[in-house]
Amino acid sequence: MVSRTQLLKRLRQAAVVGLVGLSLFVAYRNTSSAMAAWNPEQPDNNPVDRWEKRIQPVRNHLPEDVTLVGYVADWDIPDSEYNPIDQDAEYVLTQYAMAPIMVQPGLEQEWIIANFLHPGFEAWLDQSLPSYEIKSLGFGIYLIQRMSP
Amino acid sequence: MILESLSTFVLAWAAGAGVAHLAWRSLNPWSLPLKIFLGIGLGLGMTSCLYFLRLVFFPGQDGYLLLQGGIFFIILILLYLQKRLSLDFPVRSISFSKTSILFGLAAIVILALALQNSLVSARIAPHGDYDAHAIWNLRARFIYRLGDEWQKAFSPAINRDFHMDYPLLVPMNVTGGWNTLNEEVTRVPAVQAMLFLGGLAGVMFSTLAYVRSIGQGALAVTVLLATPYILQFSSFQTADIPLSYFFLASAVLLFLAVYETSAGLLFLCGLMAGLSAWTKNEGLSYALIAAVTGLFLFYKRGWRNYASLLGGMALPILTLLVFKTVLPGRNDLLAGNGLFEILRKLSDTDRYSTIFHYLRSELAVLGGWPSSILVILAAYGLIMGTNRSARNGQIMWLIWIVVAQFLAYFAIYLITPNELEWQLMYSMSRLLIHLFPMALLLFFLVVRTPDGLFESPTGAPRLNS
Repeated sequence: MVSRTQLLKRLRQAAVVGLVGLSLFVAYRNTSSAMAAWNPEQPDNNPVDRWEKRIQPVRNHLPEDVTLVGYVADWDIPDSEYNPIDQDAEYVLTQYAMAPIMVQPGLEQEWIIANFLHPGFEAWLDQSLPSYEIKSLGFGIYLIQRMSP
Repeated sequence: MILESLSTFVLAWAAGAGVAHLAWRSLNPWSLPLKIFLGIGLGLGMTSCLYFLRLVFFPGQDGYLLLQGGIFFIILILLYLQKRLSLDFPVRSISFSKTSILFGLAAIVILALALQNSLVSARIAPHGDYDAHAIWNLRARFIYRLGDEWQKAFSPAINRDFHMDYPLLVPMNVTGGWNTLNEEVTRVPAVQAMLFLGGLAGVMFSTLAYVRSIGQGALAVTVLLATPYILQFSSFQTADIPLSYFFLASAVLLFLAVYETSAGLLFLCGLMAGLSAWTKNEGLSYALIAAVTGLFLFYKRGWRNYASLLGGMALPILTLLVFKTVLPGRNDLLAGNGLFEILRKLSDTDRYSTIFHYLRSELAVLGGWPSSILVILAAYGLIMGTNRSARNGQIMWLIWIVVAQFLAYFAIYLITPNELEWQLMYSMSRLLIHLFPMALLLFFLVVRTPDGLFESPTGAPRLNS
């Protein structure tokens, strides 16, 4: 017959082993899922580096003394379809890539980065800007220069 | 690159451990690892403050390593003058029971898994996560790339979504590391994140080993480092895990100071609390809570003790004041939030119920555990029972600190000018992780230790049993 004290001791042993076992299992699962997401053959294949590569031509085309640029994207065009989370992330990544050049949403600056996924943005630009030049830099990235204030 | 990046912080770490040893005279063998792990936050925190002040008052951006060396050298001299350079800790008096060895091995396995997780995450997302791109690493990039004109990194022309008013402990160390290496090495912020994660686990383990048992410390670290959100938020390279570290370290030091009535421990507690305010704005409420708690605890034990606590806060709070004065940025919680608006929100019962609704959901998945860790720990606590120790009286103060900081967060949600549900959705899990290590420490202080469970009654005696 197992005494109450012995039973409690066994219960406590089981509790401690259970807690450690569960922690080991969860820790192993954490690391396994991180490992599964890692592809050693493509070490630079992360969204930030990929975005920086897309934005690099903008830096190359901007005059050296520019410290502030505008930024427009699909979310600026009325009735356009877009994913707000993606749009926000792309704006943040654009600022991250362009630093220390400041990236302000809107069309007020002389130089404007445009990030358009869907066609039809030209009509909106024609309505919004009196005169401008636009250069396509690939991957839906454009550099716009306002020709009049 | 990992080791190269680590080398930019090693002197700061050593200097921090020296500060802990200088201020806290304990020669208890478990105070040695505790001082070493406290050294991470003390060293990186003080270096960050001094490096920021150096940028404000002197041209250029170099000297990060020199600052660390300077602090280290001064601490060495002070230790020499106090004849405390010989680390005469009676480490041989530590006895390892079978239980402590078993749980120690489990903790080492979890530590290795956490390290592997951190290294892999640093490769998968070398720039961290969204908040690192939008705030912490972005700020470091601006400052580093602007060189002598770094103050333009706080231009009002920068979109206020990038939170220019956030304190700079984390970005300053990244900028300093990049300046030391003369390159924007992405491993620098990753290594800083790993150091704070390791420090968090180290402070947890050595505190419990110091006041309870090695087995209890190992168990706590096992749970802490298995917590998915702890690892995730660390790999995000944001300031959340450093803030958790400073909260835990300051609470531990206050707990020990109450027991040992040491002005040196109170100085370190104040320094850690102040550094939490230099890490994130949430640390301001924590520093205030620590100051008020210290006042209650020590006003009868002489003003020297309380002055030590406030003295410890001086450097980080002064740095923060310089930052807020020289580079004023609008706080998004205060902007557009007048007194009338705040009173209206405080009396809006719908806001309370919305916060409670989200709180209930978040607590159910606290820390990202597959099953509720609260239920698991509650069941564990019920089976194990409570620990009977002379130090239990001090635990009430730790409970007060956790509750007070939680109430501060609750109040911030109540008055936030941002859309409440959006803010709750994107921040509550992080805010709870700030408090989680302190709550876990409390739990393992209260609950009975596992020592003796797996041994015969004639097992070897243990320290602090």
